[in-house]
Amino acid sequence: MEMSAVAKKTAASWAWVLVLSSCCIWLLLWLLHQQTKGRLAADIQAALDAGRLEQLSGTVTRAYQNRYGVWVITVNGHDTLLVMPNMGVLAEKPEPGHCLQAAGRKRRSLRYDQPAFYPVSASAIQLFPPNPHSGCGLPIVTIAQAARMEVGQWAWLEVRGASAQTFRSQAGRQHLRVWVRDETGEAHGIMWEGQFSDRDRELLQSGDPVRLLAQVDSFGGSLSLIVWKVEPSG
Amino acid sequence: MDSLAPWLWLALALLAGVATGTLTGLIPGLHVNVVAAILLAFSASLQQSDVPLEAVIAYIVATAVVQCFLDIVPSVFLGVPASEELALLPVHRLAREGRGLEAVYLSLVGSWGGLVGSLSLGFAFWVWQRTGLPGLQDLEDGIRPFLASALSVIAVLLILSDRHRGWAATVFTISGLYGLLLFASPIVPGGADAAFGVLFPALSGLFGLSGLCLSLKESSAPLPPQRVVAPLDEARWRGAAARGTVGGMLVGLLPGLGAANVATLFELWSSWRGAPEREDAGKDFIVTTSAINVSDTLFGVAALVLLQRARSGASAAVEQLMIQQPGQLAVFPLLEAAAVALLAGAAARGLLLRLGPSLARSVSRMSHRGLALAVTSFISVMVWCTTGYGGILVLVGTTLLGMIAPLVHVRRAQAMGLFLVPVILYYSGWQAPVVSALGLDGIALPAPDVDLVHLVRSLGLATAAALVSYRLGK
Repeated sequence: MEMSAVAKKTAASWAWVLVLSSCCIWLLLWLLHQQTKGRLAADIQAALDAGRLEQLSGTVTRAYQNRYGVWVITVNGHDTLLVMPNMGVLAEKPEPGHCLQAAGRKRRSLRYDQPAFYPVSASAIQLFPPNPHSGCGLPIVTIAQAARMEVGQWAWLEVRGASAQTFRSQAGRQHLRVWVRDETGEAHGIMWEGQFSDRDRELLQSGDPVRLLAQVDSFGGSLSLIVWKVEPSG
Repeated sequence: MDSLAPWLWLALALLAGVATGTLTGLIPGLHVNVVAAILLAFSASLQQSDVPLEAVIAYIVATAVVQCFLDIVPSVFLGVPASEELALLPVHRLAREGRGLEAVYLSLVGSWGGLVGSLSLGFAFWVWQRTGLPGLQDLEDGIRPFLASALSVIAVLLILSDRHRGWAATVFTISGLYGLLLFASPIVPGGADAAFGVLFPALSGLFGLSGLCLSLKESSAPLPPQRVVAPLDEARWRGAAARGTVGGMLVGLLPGLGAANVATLFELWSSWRGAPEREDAGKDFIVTTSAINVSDTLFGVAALVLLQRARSGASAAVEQLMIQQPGQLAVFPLLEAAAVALLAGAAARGLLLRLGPSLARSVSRMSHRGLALAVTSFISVMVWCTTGYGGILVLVGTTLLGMIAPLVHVRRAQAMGLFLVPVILYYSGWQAPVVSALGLDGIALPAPDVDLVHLVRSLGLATAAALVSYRLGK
């Protein structure tokens, strides 16, 4: 037996009323969302003061976006910050060397056993160019001091480039071999393919003072630097 | 005695789970996720007490399994529409013919088949993974790049195969917009991760209160005397149960899909192969859906170990409990959980076989209107007390949205757009630009700390409201 035309019409009218009502409530929720955005800074400060949020600051040592749009940002070489795509688009693309400040919470997940830092929102992440007078969470060291650091540690080095030559590895990748010096000594290092530009190579070849963001490594028993960022000093 | 203690804890958890699952299963609209949320909120206190993590997990698993077995009883005997054309569900058609108990037994066959099947499949996967061969995680990693396309095709297929495509697309789209807003929302602080997060009011509204509200509007049919039938020959329905088991596995392991989506896909598959008679198709649907529900629940929990991902409310609660405790997966009591699931299922099966007729009589004697009002009050008060006015707004919005599909005779599964749209956008890599364009950039403000006294007070208040509502609605 078919439903009567009147019953069908009444049901459809009611359905339209429900569509409109649920859309109105969606709009209301959207407005509340925008209102919260407007007072986000104050809310974050209040939560930080109450100890319900933590702050993460330091130098971006690695940053990449996976195919699903998740930003995986390593800070100071050991803290991982995850920006999920539902947080929206970051105002600036994070790059090694950026000074980062974010408010959020550290959480563990079953899949990634290491705890990761989840920001409150994409707009709660601030990125600044590196400050020449502060290491932004990382030490500014000389080559002699770097030689005493443990392998894997990160630092900024104020040095002068001596040479920079590209070479092809056995795997066919083109890396940059660098040689730097300061008043305390000399060190060699490497920049991986994809991590250096012609400008970096020219800076290192020019002999001008530069700041390197580097990870301490050892090669043949002596200091070797894995260089991630080259900035003109001063 | 000391060595017996863990087993005693497990036994107690099993008993408590069977009792809770029976209660939540027999009350329409009360989902195991509500219980999981309450339990998660209690977790801080549980951690300080002597209750071992294994016992808490066993309790959640037992509750979820028993709930799956028993929730057929109120579905069959309560809220059966008075007019024949509105009795869309096969269980309602059978109840109107005085064969409600047959529907219960069909569901039992499906649930039991789903339980045994999913435990066997899960064990096989576990052994396979332990041998070091490519496991489910590798399989998931392999199919992940194609998930966005596959889920989009499924969503389009479900919309196009509906009777009223326009309405189906409308429900799917609005649900998707709700999903995009809610998964990023600061309206209920804590987002989707908190014990009483935004999913609590959203799912309660979309799939619980909406149905209850509609059933309050409709006049229920006085059911004819129900015939007492003998338990069914399980062998006849083995195929449907096996299909349901595999379907439940897909729902449990893949993101975004719901049991209703997969059941619909199976229905489409059957009709494409040649439509069976209406009655047989209906019975097949009951068995398959029940098997999917149980299998989905179990694979949801198994996904924690096999994929390290939570895929359901119950498994999300277990995940949160495990994250809070050191050791995590290394101590996940998979075998204990499987044993508890089997025992809980056996208890629920025994309960339905022995007490089915009297349960059916008792439930059908209760006032559906009273029960619907009681559950509506209980959930509304709990949402108000735990998520505030933001939660109430979400509850009202999703309840209204959930009422559209049954009114215009489109599948309720279209409302799964709430999960499907954000999941499709995530796997396509388009989520960030889309939420930014809509002004819905996520804000994850921390949830307020759960105060145990407040929670107990809220539960008391909600129960009192439910009792008063039942009396008024009788």
